[in-house]
Amino acid sequence: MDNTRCMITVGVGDLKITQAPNILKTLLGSCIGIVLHDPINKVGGLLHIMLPRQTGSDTKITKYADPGLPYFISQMITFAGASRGSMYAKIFGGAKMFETNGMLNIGESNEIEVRRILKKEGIRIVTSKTGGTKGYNIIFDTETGDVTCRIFGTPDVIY
Amino acid sequence: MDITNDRLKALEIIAKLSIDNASRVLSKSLKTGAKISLSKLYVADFCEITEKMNDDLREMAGVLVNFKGNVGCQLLFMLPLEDSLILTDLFLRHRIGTQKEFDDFTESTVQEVGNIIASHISNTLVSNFNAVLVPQPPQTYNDYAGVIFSNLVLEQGSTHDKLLLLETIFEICNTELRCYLFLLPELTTFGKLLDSIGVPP
Repeated sequence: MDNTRCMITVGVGDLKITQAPNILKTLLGSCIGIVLHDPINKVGGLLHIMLPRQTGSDTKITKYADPGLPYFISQMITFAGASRGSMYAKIFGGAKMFETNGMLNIGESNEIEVRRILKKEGIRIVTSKTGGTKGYNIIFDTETGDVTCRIFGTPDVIY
Repeated sequence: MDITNDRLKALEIIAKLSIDNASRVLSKSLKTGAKISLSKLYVADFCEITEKMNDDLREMAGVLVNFKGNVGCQLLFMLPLEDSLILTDLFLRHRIGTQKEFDDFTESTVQEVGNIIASHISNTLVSNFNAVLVPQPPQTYNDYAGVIFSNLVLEQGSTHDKLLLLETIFEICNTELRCYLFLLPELTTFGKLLDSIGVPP
């Protein structure tokens, strides 16, 4: 079974959805990685958002929590066969990578918006690991739903 | 992002002039031959380039300098942590192998080398092309290569799906030092600079 697994890397501001047992991975700084998993229909996706809200109209929507996250949820249901009722979310990243002179940092703003949208969409967050000042390396196993997270300079932790 | 081949060629010449200038000054600072040469200038898809870089899990030290003014540009200098120790020895005139761990000296060295490169690249643009470039306080990082690179492209990537990116090859005499220098000019403002020197649109 393991021999047929694909390891798929997700770029910044990008979205990838796949069937189990494939693996999705990405690196995160101030961005937030949102993992959606449907353990019954064995489908998973990873959205890598950069900013809370879209301001212009000429860029990919998956860069922004709004409208990228509602789009991600609809793609999971419509095209990948996930069911809203059995889907859950895990969120990672949102580190403070830039000096912001005490203002709200991008990572925090991203997390607040992601939590707001997931609540509105009725998707429960089962685990989250956010904040800090270092990058996150996350590897999402769509078979089990496990996310292996390694914050720079620290050991792997499975969520 | 539309840019003609003539304009890309003109940008390449400007970049080479700037990088050569930085190379010469870096050689003097390190008291050894340092050569930075332009390897690629291209329009990259934001998601594709960051996807590629997100596979790079090497631990790196890096410095990011942001220029504001009538020409906007971001510059990233980074190198693997183990190579930053060699760079520190070179910079402080120590025997290679003296610096054993990444500490404040190493971080300061990486920042200083980044500053030297950034200031001489901007000097070339200011003195030869009447550009106004105001460097913002540099940000230093110690993180995964992919994360540091995404910090470089984040600002422009938030408003554009395509980026104009310059990659370089870095050689330092008699050492195997892997350094990476990326330049990210803002195409809108660089377009005005090209207009001012008569490069047709």
